[in-house]
Amino acid sequence: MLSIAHLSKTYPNGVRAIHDVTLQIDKGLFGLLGPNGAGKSSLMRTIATLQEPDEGSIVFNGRDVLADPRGLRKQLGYLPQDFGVYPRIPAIDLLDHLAVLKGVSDKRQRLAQVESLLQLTNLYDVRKRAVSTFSGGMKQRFGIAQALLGNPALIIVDEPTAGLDPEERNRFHDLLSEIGENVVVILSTHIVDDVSDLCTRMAVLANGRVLLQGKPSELISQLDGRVWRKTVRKDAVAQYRETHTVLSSRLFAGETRIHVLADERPEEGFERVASDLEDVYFSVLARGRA
Amino acid sequence: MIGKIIRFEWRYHTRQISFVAAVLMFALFGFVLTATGFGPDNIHINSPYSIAQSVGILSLLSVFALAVFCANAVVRDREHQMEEIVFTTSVEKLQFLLGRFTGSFLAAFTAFSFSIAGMLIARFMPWHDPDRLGATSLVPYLWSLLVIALPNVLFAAVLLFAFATITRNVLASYAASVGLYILYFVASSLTNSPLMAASAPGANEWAWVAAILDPFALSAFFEQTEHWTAAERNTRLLSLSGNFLWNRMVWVAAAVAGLAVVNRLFAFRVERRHQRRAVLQPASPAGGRAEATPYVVSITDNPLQAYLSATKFEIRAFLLSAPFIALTLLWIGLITSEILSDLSGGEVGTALYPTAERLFRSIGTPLGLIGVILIVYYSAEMVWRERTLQMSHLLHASPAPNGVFVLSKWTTLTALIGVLTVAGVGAGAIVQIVRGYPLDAGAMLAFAYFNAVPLVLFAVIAIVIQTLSPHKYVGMPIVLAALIIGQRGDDFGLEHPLMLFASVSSILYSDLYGFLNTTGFHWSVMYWSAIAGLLLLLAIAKWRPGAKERIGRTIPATLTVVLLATGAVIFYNANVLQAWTTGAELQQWKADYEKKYRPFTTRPQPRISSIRANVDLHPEDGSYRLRGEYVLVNETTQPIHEVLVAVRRDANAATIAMSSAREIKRDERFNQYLITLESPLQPGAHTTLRFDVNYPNRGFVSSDANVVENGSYLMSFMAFPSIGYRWTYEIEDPRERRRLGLGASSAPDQPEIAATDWVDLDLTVSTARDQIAIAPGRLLRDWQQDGRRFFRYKTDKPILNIFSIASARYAVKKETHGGVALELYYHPGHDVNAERILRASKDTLAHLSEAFGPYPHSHLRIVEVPAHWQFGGFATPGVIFLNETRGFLIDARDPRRLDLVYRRVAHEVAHQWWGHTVSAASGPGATTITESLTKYSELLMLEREHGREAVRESLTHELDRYLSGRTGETDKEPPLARAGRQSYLYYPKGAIVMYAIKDLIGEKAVNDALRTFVREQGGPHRNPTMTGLLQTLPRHPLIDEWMNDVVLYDLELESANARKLADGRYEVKMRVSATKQREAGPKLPLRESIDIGMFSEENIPLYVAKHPLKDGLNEVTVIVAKEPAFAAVDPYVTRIDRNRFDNGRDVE
Repeated sequence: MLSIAHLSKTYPNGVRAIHDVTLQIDKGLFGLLGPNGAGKSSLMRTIATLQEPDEGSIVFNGRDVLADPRGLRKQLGYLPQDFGVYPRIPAIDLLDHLAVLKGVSDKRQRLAQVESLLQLTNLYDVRKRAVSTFSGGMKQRFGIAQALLGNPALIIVDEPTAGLDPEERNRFHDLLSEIGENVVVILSTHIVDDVSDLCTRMAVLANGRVLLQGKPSELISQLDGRVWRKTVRKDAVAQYRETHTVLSSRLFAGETRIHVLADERPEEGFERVASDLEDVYFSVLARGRA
Repeated sequence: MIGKIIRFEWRYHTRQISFVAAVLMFALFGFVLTATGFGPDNIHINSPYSIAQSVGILSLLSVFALAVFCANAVVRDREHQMEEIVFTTSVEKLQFLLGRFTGSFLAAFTAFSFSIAGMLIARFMPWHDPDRLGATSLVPYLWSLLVIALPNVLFAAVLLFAFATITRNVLASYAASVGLYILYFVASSLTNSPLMAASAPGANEWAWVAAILDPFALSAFFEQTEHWTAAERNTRLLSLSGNFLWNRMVWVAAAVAGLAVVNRLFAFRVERRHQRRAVLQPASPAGGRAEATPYVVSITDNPLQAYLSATKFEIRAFLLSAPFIALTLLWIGLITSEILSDLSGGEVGTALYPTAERLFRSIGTPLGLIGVILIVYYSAEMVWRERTLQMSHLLHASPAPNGVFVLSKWTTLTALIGVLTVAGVGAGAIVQIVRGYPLDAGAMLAFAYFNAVPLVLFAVIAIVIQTLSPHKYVGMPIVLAALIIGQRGDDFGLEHPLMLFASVSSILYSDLYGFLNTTGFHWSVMYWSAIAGLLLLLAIAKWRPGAKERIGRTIPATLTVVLLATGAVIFYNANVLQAWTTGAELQQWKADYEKKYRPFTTRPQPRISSIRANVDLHPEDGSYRLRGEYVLVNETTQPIHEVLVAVRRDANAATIAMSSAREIKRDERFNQYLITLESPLQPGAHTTLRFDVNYPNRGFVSSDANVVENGSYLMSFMAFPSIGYRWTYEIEDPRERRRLGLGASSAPDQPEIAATDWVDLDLTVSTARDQIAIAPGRLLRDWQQDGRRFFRYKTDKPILNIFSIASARYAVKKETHGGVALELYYHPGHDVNAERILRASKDTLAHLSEAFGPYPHSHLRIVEVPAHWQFGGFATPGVIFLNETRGFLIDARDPRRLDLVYRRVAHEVAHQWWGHTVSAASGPGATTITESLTKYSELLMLEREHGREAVRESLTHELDRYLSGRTGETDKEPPLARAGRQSYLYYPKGAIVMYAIKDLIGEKAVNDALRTFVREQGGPHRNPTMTGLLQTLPRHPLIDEWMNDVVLYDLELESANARKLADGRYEVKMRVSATKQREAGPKLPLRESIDIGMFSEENIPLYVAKHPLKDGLNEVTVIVAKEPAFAAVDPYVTRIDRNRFDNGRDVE
C-alpha cells in the first residue's frame, strides 16, 4: 500500500508542480487523471524516486521511500511518458540488461522472465530487432515489458496509451488490468476512458493539487440526476458558459452538444442524462477553476 | 530563403549557452596566451609573429567549438526528433545545407574572433616587461584572423559538418576532427615545428610537403618565418605567398569540395533506420500470451553484475563503433610513421636504434595529445548519452546504484586509453621486432603504464566535470580549461606536486639504471587516485539529477586517509627532505645571493692549487660525501684577509675548517662560509682548507639524478665547495634580472666550465663493490674494503679544474696506441659502436697530436653516462663522457648518413687541445677558441674518415643551425670573434668560418698557426684571447671580415645549361648571382673566388673549382668530361648563405 502525505515540489524555475498532495493507494489500478501540465508526471517521477520532493512523505508498504529510495526501486516498475533507447540494441539484449540493473541476478531466471515478458507483450518474434526501429505501439509494449521486469510491487505508467491505436490500446488495458490484480498500479492519463475502463480508484489532479479522489462509481453516483444535455448552436456556447456550469461541449454528428451541471432542469430543451466519469472530471475541473 | 535559414541558424546558435561559453573560452585562451608572454623571449608579445602563431594555435582549439556548432547543425534535428518537421518544409536541399552550415560557421567563427579581443586586452595588462611590447596595431590581428584563422576554421567546420551530416553520427565527426589533428601532427613532425617536443632544428627536404599538408598552416607559417630575425618577427606581416599561399588555396578548395560532397551525399529525408522497420504483428487475442503474470524471479543486490553489464554496453557503443575503430587504425598509422621518422631523424639526420626509451619518446607526446582530445570528446558523449537519448528515466528507476553508471563510463574511457596505449606500444614492439632489435617487453609495458596513468586520472576529471555540468557543451570547455591548468599549472601558480592534478613526477629511463623516480611516481599516483576517487564519489552522489544518493562513510573515509597519508609522505619528501621552493622563491634566493655576495668579485681571493679528497658514492641510496682538503694559494698582489667558501645549497652537514682561521661564519641561507684569517695570507703564500660535505638522499621528489643505482655521474662544480663568488647562481635571463632589480650580469659565458684554475688532483673514490669508479688522473690503486670498492686516481701534472666522477657496472675495453692507454667504459650490451668510438679516438689522438702538438696525458678514457644527461659528450682532462643514447645507441651502420658517433668522439677528443690545453681567458671570444677550433678539428677528422661529402653534409646542418639560432638572439648579434654565450655562433658559425678559412689559405697554413698557438699559449695559467688567435693566423681581409663582422651572402645559381661538345665533353654555361651584405646594413662589394661544382647522377663530383665572382650577375662556363646532372655554387658551404636551397639546380 502506498501512502503519500502532504507532498510538495517546486522546481528551481519557480514552477510549483506538486502542491500538498495526499493520496492513499491500495492494490489494484489507480488512475491519476488530469489535464496536460497538471503535475501528473512530476508526481509520478517523485513517487518513482527520480526526483526528491521539497516536503511531504511517501510510504510504501510501511517503508519510508524517501529515506530508502533503493528499497522502493527494487519493487518498482516504471514506464515513463516518453522514452528513448540505445540505438542498435536488440530488444532481448536491452531487456536482459535492464533486468540485471533491476537486480535479477540469476541468469536462468532472467532469461526465463525476459522471454516470458516478450511473449506477454507479443514481441517475441521481433526480439532480435533493435528497439530503436520499433513502431510506436511496439515500443510502448517494450516499455511495459521492461516495467514488469523483476516482478514489481509498484508499477507506475505515465500516459501509456498516447499514440496507440484502439486495438493496441485495448490489448494494453487487458495486460494492465491482469497485472493490477496483485500489485499497486498507478496509471496517469488525461484520457477519461482509460480510467473508467480500468481503475478501481482514482484521483483528479490539476495545478499540482488533488481536486478529488475516490472510486469512479461512487464519484459518478454523486452526480446522478444533476447532469443535463442540450444540443445548441455553436455560437451560443459562450453564452451558456456565462450563465451555467457547462461541463463539456463537444461536436456530435456536426452539432454542438453541451453538458450542464444543475440540480433542476436549467431551461427548456435540456434533457437529463446518466452521469459518467467524464462529467465528474469536468465538474471537478470547473470547480477548480472557479 | 537562404538568408532566412542563415539568420535562423545564427540566432539559434548565438542564443545557446554554449555560444556564450565558447566566446568566453576563446577570449580567455587568447588572453592567457598573451598575458603569460607566449612566444620567444626576444620578440614582442604583440608582434605580428606572436599574434600569427597564437591565432594558429588557438585555431587548433577551434575544432572543439566546431564540434558544438557545425557538427550539430543538422544532426540536432534528429536528436530533437525534428527531422520530419524540417524535411517536409518547402526548403530546398542545397539552400538548407548551405544555410545551416553558414549560420553555424558564422557563429563559431564569431566566437573564435573573441580570442583576438582577449589577446588585445592582455597586451594592456600592467605586468608585461616593457621590452616585450611593441606598438599596437589592429592590422596584424585582423590579418592573422583572415589568412590563418578563417581558412582553418572554415575547413575544419566543413569537415565536421560533412561527417556529421552524412553519417548522421556526431561521434563520426569527432573521429574526423581527430584525423585532422593527426594530419597536423604529421606535418609538424615533418617540419620540426618548434611547437613539438624533441624537435631538432635541421634542414628537411620534406618541409614543403608538410607546409602544404598542414590544414592549420602552422607548418607553412614556421617554414616561411624560420630564418626571420627578431626585428623581422616584430614587424613583418606574414606574406600570402609561396607555400603558405598554396596551403591556403588547397584547404579553402578542400572546404568547398567538402560542401559539394555533402550536398551530393546528404539525403534530404528521414533516414529509414536500418532497412526494415519491424512490422506490427497482428496478434490473435489469445495467442502468443504465455501466462498472465510474468515468470517470478528473485531480486538480489548485485551491483558488480550490473556494472559489468553496463560496461559491456558502453564498450559496445563506444569502442566497438566504426568511428573508434577508424580512429584506432589512424592512430596506429600515425604512431608508426612517427616512430619511423624519429628513428631515422636523430640529430643531424642520424639513425637511432629502436630502444624502448627511444620509442616512447616518439609515442609519449602524441599519446598524451590524442588521448586528452578523445577524453574531452568521449566523456561528453558518454556522460550525456542517456539524457540525450531520453533513456535515463528507464535506468534511473532501477535499483542499480549510481556507481554502476559512473564507474562503467570511467572504465570505458580507461579502456579507450588502454586501446590507444596498447596500439601505440604494439606498433613500437613490431618496429623492434622488424628491425631485429631485442624486444624489450618489460620496459615497453612500464612506459605504457607511466604514460597511460595520467590520462586515466584525467578521464576522472572529465567525467566528474561533465556529470556536474548543466550541459554537455558547457562541460566541454570546462574540461578543456582543467586540462590546460593541469598542463600549464606553473603559469597559474600551481607548482607544488601536491597542487597540480596528476602531476606525477617525471620518470627517467636509462639502460644503466632502468626506471628512475618510480617511487615518487607511485606515491603521486596513489595520492591523485585518492583525490580522483573522492571526485568520483561526488559524481556518483550527483549522478541521478534531482535525487541524491547517500554514500556510506567507509569509502570516503578510507580515501581521505589514503589522501592524507600519501599527501604527508609526498610533503615530507618535497618540503622536508628536498626543501621545496617555488620557482619564484628560487629566483629571489638567487637575486638576494647576488646582491649580498657580488662585492666579493672585487676582493682578492685565493686560488685552489691542489685537491686531495675522498669521494664516497652510495649508489644504493643516492647519497654521497666529499671529504678532503684544498691547498689555497694567494696569486694576487694583495694580502687576503677573508676567504669566502660556497657549498651547494642542498648539501647538509658540511664542515669547513682552516687552521689559520680566526673565525668562520656560516650564512645558513646561502650555505656560504666566510673565513676570517688569523693573519692575512700574503701574496704567494699557501694555506689549507679542509672540507667535509654530505649530500644525503633527498627523497623521491628530487630531480637530482647524480648518484643513482647504476650510472652515477658527478660534475665537480656541482658537488665540490668553491672559493669566492659563485657565478653559477646568477640569473642569466636579462628580463628576470631587471624584474628583480639586478643590473647587467657580468658572469662569464658558460660559468660552470669557465674555471681557469689549474690543479693537482688526488682523488680516492669509493663506490659499491661491483662498480667501477672513474676520475681523472692515473689509477694508482684499486682495492676493496668494508664491502666497498676504492679507486685512487692522481694526476701527473696540473689539469684544468673541470672534472667529473662516474661509477657504474661497466664493461671495459682497453688498447694502447702511441703510448696512450685507450680505455672504453660502457654498459654491458652497449657495444655496437665500441669499435667506432675507439677508432675515432685513436685516429683523432694520432692526427691532432701530429697537427697541433702532443697529447698531454698517458691515458684517454671514454665513459658512458645515462641518457638523462643534457649533453652528447663532455670532455674533461683525459676523460671523455659520452651520452648513452647520443653516442652509444646511435645506429651508425648506414654509410650514407652522417657518422655522428665518429664526429662526436673526434669533437670531444679535440677538446683535449682546445679547452684542456689551450684554456681561453674568460671574455668575448673565449667560447670561440674553445668550441670553434674544436669544430674545426672535428671536421678535419670527419673529412679524413669519410671524405669531403661528409663535411658538406655536416656543414649544411651547421648553416641551418646558425640561421635558425640567430633568430633567437635577444641582443645584437656579435661577430664570431666576440661570441659570448651564443651557441649558435661558436658551434655552427665557427665550424663554417674555420673550414672556410682552411679553404681560403690551406690546411697546412691553418694547422701550423694553431700549432704555434698551442705551443705559445697552451698550458697552465696562460689565458689566450681571440686577439692572440687572430694574430697567430695569417692575415687575410676575408678572415678579418668573417671573424670581426656579421656578413651574409646570397648566392644563387639561376641557370645551368649543358651542351655536348664534339669531343664528347660537356660545356656548361651558368648564371650565378651573388650578393654580400652586412646584417640589416648596406650591400658590400663582393670579389671572391668561390667554388663551382658539377656532380654526376650518383652525386659524384665531376668538377669543383674556384671561380672569381663579383656582386650581381656572373656568367660562368665550365667544360667537364662526363655528363653533369647537377650544378651548384659553393657546394661545400664555405659562405654563410641566407638561402642555400637556390645554390644548386639540375643541369638542363
